[in-house]
Amino acid sequence: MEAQVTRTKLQSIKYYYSKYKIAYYFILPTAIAMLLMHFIPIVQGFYMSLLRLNNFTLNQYLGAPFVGFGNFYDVMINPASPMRIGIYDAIRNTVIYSFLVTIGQTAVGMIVALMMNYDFKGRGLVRTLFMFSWIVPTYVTGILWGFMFQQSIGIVNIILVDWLHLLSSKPFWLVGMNTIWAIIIPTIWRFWPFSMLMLLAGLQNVPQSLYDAAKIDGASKWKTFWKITWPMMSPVWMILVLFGMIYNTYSFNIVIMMFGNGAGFPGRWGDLMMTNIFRNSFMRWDFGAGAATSVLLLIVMVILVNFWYKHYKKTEEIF
Amino acid sequence: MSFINYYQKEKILRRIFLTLMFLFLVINSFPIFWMGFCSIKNNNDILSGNVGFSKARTDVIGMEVDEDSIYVFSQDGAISEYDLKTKEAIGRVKVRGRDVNYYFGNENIYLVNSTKGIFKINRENLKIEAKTPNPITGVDTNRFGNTSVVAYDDVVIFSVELRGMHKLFIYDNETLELKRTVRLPMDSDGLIKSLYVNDDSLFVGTNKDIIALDKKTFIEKNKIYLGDNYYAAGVQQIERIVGNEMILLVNNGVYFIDIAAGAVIAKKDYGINLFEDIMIKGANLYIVSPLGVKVVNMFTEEEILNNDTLVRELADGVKVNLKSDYTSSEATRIATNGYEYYIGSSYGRVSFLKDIAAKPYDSIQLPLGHRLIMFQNYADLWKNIDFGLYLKNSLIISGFTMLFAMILATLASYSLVRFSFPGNKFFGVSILATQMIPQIMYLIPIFIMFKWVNDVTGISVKGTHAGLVFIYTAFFVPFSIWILRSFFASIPVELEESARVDGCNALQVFLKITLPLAVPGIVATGIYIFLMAWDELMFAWVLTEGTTLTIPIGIRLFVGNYQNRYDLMMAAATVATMPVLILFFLLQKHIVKGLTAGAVKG
Repeated sequence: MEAQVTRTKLQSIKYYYSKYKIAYYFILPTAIAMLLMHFIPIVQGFYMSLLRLNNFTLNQYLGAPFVGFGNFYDVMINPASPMRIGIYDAIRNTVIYSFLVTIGQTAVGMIVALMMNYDFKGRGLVRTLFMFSWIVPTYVTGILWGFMFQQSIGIVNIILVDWLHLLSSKPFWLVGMNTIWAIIIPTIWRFWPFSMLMLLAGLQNVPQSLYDAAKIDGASKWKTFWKITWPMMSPVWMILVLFGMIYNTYSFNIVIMMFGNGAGFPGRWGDLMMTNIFRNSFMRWDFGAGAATSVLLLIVMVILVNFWYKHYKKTEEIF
Repeated sequence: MSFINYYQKEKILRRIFLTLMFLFLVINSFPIFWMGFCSIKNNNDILSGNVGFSKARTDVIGMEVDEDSIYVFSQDGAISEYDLKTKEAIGRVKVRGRDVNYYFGNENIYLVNSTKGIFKINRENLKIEAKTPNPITGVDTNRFGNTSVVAYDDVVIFSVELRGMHKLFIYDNETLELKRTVRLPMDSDGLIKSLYVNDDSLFVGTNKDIIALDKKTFIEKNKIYLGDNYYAAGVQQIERIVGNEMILLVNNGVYFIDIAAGAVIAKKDYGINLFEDIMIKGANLYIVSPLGVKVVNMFTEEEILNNDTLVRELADGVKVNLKSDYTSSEATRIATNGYEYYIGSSYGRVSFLKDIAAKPYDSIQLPLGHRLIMFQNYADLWKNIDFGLYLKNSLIISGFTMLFAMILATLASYSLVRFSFPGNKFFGVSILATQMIPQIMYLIPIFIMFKWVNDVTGISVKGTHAGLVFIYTAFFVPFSIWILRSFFASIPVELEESARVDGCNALQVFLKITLPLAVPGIVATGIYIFLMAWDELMFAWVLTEGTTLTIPIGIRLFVGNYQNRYDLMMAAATVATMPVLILFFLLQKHIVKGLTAGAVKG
């Protein structure tokens, strides 16, 4: 009996293999690459978060002293630990940053997409020009806006204070609480064209008959947008919100390049989770703490994405 | 009822919409424009908050008096000839450049600057008769200090104040062909400050000493050590008093030396902080400082005149720029023809004095210099950092990543779409799941893993192109699969089925039917991967070193070393942006199509 079961299992494997041989061959290189560069590092990453892995124990690799949840304690709670410095600032900043940037880039993208949905001369060129800010590399975005936000010589202050007289004196953008705006605005600037592109494609897929029906019913433009356009496009903008949430929480390049090119500290209102982890790992050389913080970040992200997915399923079912 | 009907209203609304949109387009494009704009600005303009391009300063760096005219040399590289009677401009020649210096010969003027090189200019008609570029290439022009030039017999001798540059360049005085170079016996930190020639010797003033050379053979005849205290200033000017006695001007004093005896006779201070120029007339020494002119008898040391406020008064109200900003200027040079005195000052003012004690009876003002538009910043950037290497590395890494990721993603996504093999669902979900994981969570283990591999086997994966290409490929494949899936899904299965019926096997179907149809999508994905790899900073930061540095890391290191060189920073940013911007501009139709197809259907 048992032998028979094994054989049938073997047979079924053989059957599937012969049937999907090419599929398996096709997927094999990707599978190997992902095994080596995704799966193995991730498992190690989880394990490393439980090790006292720093500059001194680096050579021992996975044989470094096992400290259990000591790293998590050090990072989150232990008041004596240097790794804990600024972690709550980083968490707060990341929440504000991620939230506002995601909303900002979707909103700006939506507004411009609605404008671009009009047919006018040179629309393709205008769209291309809009897309330019998305092509600028993120590290350049950081350098460029860091330069533009300089207190006395930056063009932002020159425009705001010297030309438009909106403020009485030139504020410091890269010091103090203003920093959070100084990192949010460039990120929105860099990423909104992508949202615009997706939303524009989504807009063009909304059937014209719905708008015609709304027009006949005498609905206002405002109402038409919220009752037809917005819900019809929910698959698009929800995907954008998901990607925005993930990418902005893991945002690194813009912030690190804006403040002394990685050598400088972004300050209490500019530090993000990723810059915090990177500093702990590759400047203070405490990889255990870095891994522990990224594990925490991942757990939060999984919860958020799960929450998002449930909501997404609901909208999928409606439409 | 209303004068505006529906269509007119629509039209007006539309116009408002378009206006707003174009306004936003301008605002949104502004940072990119500003980046390019600042990359060709002069760094001083940026640091002083000047939004436009300022004009080059025309401070007088020298005056030479002819029989009835005066030649005024200014800092922007112009020579202006004025009639001494009418004070009107007779001739003018302009050579844009910085670190300008000149030698006033009997027939020709030799004008040099560090950016454009050496020019031979006819004294009569101010025509450029010959020119040759700066012999020192490969150095950021901002690192040049003073240039110096002298001419005698049939040679022109050119030197530059530059760390480690201890050479004299000797040119033919007619054709300006480089004849030879002479290495001077100097300390390693010596800087050449000035040149002077008299009947029998060529003198080189440095930051520490003065060296006398033979005029023909350039062999050292004598050397007088002045001390290390004048590191910053050195010998600015050398004049001859009589016979073997020379006078040297250093930053804060005057040396009298006997060149034959090789000894310092005296050092005089005269209580002036900053010397600009000295002139000898008879027994009198005229000393120009920014405040004014002081005249002393060299032998009795009696102070004949101390005219401190004079030049302040005479140079009041000098126009600085186009915005009608006025300032007072500071004296820089003095000259005389025996009857009257000429005092040149900053911002291009030359004052005429009948008597050095009296007020000036007239003055002339040089026109403003050229606009400082520095396309040269790009050349300086390439000289400062090994940008070619970074560009090459970035192209290699991004290119190969694109190639491999395209191949892997095409195969994988095709197999995921067409075959519902066991594990399909798991694979699809895990591809999406990888997008959730913070990149640093990979980076830490990979970094330590590479280090461990290096320790155990001695193979260095870190700091190689292949290592980074492999990592990038693995990282960008999941997202590429996600985009490509919708492409393959949109290709009708019926086509493949009919091909199967015709006798193709699975591989042939893929290669001959599906792949050609999916090419636009694959190209779009490939470009997107290229853009992402070009943009990648964190992995490259940790995993590249030395010869494998990519552009973001090169720029990061560069900016760290040149904190205040915003002009070069913006030039570097522009150079890093241009390749991808051009790539996008050329291929944007494919990219847009590829990305939106994935988003809307997926």
